Amino acid sequence: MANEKQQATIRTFFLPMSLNDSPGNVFCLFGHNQVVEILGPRPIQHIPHSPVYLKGVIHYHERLLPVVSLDDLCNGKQVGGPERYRQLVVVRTGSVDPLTGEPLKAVVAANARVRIAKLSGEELATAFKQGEAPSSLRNSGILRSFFQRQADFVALCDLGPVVRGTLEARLGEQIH
Amino acid sequence: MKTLFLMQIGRQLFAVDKECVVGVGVRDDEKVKPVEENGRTYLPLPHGNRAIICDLPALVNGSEFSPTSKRGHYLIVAHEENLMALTMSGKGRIVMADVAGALPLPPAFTGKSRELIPGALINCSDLILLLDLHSLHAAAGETAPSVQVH
Repeated sequence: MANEKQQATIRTFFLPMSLNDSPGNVFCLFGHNQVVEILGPRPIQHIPHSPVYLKGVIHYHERLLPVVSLDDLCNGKQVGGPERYRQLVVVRTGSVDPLTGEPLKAVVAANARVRIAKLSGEELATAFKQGEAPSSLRNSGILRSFFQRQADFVALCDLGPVVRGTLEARLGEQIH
Repeated sequence: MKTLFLMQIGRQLFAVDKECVVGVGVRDDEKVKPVEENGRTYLPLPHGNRAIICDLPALVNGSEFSPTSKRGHYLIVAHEENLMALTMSGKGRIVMADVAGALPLPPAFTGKSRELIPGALINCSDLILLLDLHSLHAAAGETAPSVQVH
């Protein structure tokens, strides 16, 4: 019985976001199959001439992974520089490298601790109400869907365009 | 294996091909004053040469993080017909490295950043970014006049 209950819940990860144009708390939701690992603070190697939302790279299991700041991506922060993050969340993006065909991972920087919650299928179906996303998220080019859950807001994001390096082109298409 | 010149900027490590290195000079703006011409800054060198100054810390960290200290070292490198003076934190050092084992940047990095950093070497917990001098020169100033390398 307990096993059935355990199987019916899904572990989810709520990454706090800081959006300039949102009055409420906004979280980016990742499923348990997306999150590979949550790392503590570590040095991030900045790459010159990269967009402000790409904070640099870290070495992870013989690969270089891009570190993405969702806040900077949405808010369009214009200043770069060394920053420290509380946690770094390694996620599977579902995208593959167009050259090698390898699955692409990303590291999402979190300024505050990621919350982990076990949600039942019923809660996932009923507690999340479709909502209107703030314009910063709508125009980010990564928003899949946006929900309200009690007093909080939850965004589902697609990091594929970011890790494939096609986000700028996608945003350009949206503008024109 | 290839001989590289390793330089440190802040806490980050960069490497250039040793064959391109002309020398290392002490940075003392009081003694050797950089010269501004056509909006670009040059470091006067012996024999009437001069090198376009490339403020790497500003390039790496954003211009607002340009160091206020006017001391440190310059790495003088030759690229095609030009000389560049790269600002760095210490004196730098020569290392041997297997550049064939360099990791490429993730596809997320495109355009100028990919041209400037063709790859990175792993040394324990350190990442060493390989610098492409052609792209660096373009970043420092496409219109820098040529100088003779003696």
